[in-house]
Amino acid sequence: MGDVIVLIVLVLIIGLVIRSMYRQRKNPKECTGDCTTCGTSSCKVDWDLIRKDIREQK
Amino acid sequence: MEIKIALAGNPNSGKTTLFNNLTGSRQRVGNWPGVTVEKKEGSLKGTNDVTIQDLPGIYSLSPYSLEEVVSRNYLVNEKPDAILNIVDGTNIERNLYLTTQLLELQIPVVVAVNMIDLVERNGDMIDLNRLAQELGCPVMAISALKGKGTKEVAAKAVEVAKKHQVALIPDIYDKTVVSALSKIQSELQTHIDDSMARWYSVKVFERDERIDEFLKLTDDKKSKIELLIKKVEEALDDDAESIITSQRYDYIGTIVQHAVKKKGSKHELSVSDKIDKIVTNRILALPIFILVMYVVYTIAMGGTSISIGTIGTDWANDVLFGDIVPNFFDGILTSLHVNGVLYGLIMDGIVGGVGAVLGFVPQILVLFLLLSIMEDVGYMSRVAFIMDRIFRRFGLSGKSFIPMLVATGCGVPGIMASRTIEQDRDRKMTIMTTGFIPCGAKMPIIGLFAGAVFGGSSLVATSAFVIGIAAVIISGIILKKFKSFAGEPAPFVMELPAYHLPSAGNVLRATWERGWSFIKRAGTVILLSSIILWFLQGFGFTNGQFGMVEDNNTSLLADIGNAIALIFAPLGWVGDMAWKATVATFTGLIAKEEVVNTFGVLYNFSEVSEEGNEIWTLIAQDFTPIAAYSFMIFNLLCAPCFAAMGAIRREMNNTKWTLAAIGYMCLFAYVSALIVYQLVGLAIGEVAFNFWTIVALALLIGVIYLLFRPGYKPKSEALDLKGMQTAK
Repeated sequence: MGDVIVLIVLVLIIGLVIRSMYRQRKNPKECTGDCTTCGTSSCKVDWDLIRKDIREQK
Repeated sequence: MEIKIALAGNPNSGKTTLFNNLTGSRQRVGNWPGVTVEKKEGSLKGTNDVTIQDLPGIYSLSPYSLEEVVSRNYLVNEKPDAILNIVDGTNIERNLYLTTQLLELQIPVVVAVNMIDLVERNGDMIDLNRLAQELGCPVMAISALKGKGTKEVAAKAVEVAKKHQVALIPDIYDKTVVSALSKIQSELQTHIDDSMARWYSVKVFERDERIDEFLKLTDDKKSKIELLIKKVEEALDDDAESIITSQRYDYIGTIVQHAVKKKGSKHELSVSDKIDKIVTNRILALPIFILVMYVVYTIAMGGTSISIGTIGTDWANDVLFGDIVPNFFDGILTSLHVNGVLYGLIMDGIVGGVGAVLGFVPQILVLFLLLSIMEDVGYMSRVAFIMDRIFRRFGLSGKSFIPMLVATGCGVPGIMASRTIEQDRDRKMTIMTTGFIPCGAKMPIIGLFAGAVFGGSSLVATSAFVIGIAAVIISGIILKKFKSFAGEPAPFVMELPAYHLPSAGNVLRATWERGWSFIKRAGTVILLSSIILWFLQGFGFTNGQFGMVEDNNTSLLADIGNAIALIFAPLGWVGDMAWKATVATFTGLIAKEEVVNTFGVLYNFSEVSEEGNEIWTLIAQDFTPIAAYSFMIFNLLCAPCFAAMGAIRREMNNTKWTLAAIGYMCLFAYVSALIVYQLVGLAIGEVAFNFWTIVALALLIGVIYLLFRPGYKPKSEALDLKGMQTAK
């Protein structure tokens, strides 16, 4: 009986962990404007376009 | 009616601090450029319909950096209802240059003179009423850091936005220029929004190519305008852009003369200047930086009485995860009469593995706290300046060093911060080398070996950081000689903000953010890996039968590890520890803390290992000092974790370059570890002369050749030389 309880708890914890990791991957946090702490792919700035803009201006 | 107010101003003038104050946000305030590189919105506290936009810092509306383009595009194209122009009161003359341009946009402007407390402390005086009169717009004093005057200035900005209270165009230029601008304006009439006529006419006068392209003028109009500009240039004997710039500064000079009274002489050094004379001194700067980092690592990870990080980690390893947590789980599992396998999984796998990583949280928090203090005080921007001077000799720029400073927390944002580097080749090189800097996740590896093998010496951690910087410089020199990376580094212009006492809020928040991310990873990725690792090292084939093994040297994990371990034999990973070190290195790809977790699981397998320091004893038995250092170097310099690889992939946007970056790091790490183990080991008598010693020596000669060989010269230099020869 003890084994079953521990196994259930373990499976629940693992499930929650996997769910949390999946959610984080699917919905990365929004852009905070601060590239230096950004760890996501939610960047909405088109850096290539900005670089092209500057090159053309120069 | 929704109102949008934009915060515009020079870098480090206090925009983000004001933004946080007005909106209740917690945006990060950094003291070096590139912290805010995208606009961020927030609602003004106490309102539903007023949005505040925090913009990246700009010196003018003629941007030369990526951050400046973001701000300018927003102001010119999206036209906020009002601009709250933050001006650094301690540096008012330079800050007002942007103000004069903002006024020409004919959008309602409120000038907020920030750091008024510092102005008063310096004994200077700013006549706000006179300044308002001269500029033709409201001017108010604030201290964003202390929250003084911030509500009032926001209320004023809302008021001018609602009334659309636009300032009169300031009387900046002389008659000649004004006459030309009026004529240009009449030529542009049908092409532009009347409200921004002055701004466009100035831009056309300056021959701004982007604006010319946007306006699509007929050839006839272009010729008329060009003639007008040339006449003014002849009359004033200067080019158009310089005429505008110098007349702006003359105008600002007059305003400052009337409205600002400085206590000291113009050339008197401020406290920050006096400190900088020492801290950024040509000879003293680098030794001071190394000393500062040594002190930081000593306090965080050393073995002295002031090493509070180590004291905390010792307690965490010996008491918390050595006694309290294992006893707690042991009590529960024993009372539930769970079977041996499940008991082993939880105690040896999860508690042993996760505990080994979490034990380093005190060291991590102390390290991040100290780095955050250095950042908040303003020292980190000096470091970027110091490193620019050094890096430039090796073909890199100080702007490349900023992502590396960020990478001391985590490599992923460090790699992402490289996106603000304009030049492709410098950006690629920065991405490839940022991973060499020890990140927070690598700290437990350093802490583990420093404690287990090197008696808690803080020199180990400091040397790891120095090795990281050396790897960046060596890579910079080598890579710059190849065609793909050759060329002069980009200019690096940066304002050094005044030193100030660290803000407890900023420092604690930054420390907690980084520390929490470390703890969260332990509870997710590390936890799952512990379970898989425990299974793989607890089960195997004995006499052809699959089942639990007594000795993890005969486990599935050992079989996998031993198959690969041969390639690391030249690095000194031999004997029973070879497969463990190999497996730990590969699990480190999941997250660098995994290395410690893996050792925690593998060495916890033994029944005698109940306390953290017994694991350290076992590790010390398996690793000689030189093998330990070689292992550490390899893991510090080799391919980063999967998350960082993903960041590299995104930033490179090219599979070939991504693989090249990762391959380069692995190769560099292997060669470095091989050279250290074989040659240093031979020198100190720990390693006997063998075939790999010769290989290491050959590789060392190869590296020296790559460092000193003549590199690829970009075409323009070759053409110049040809021209000179013809002239002779």
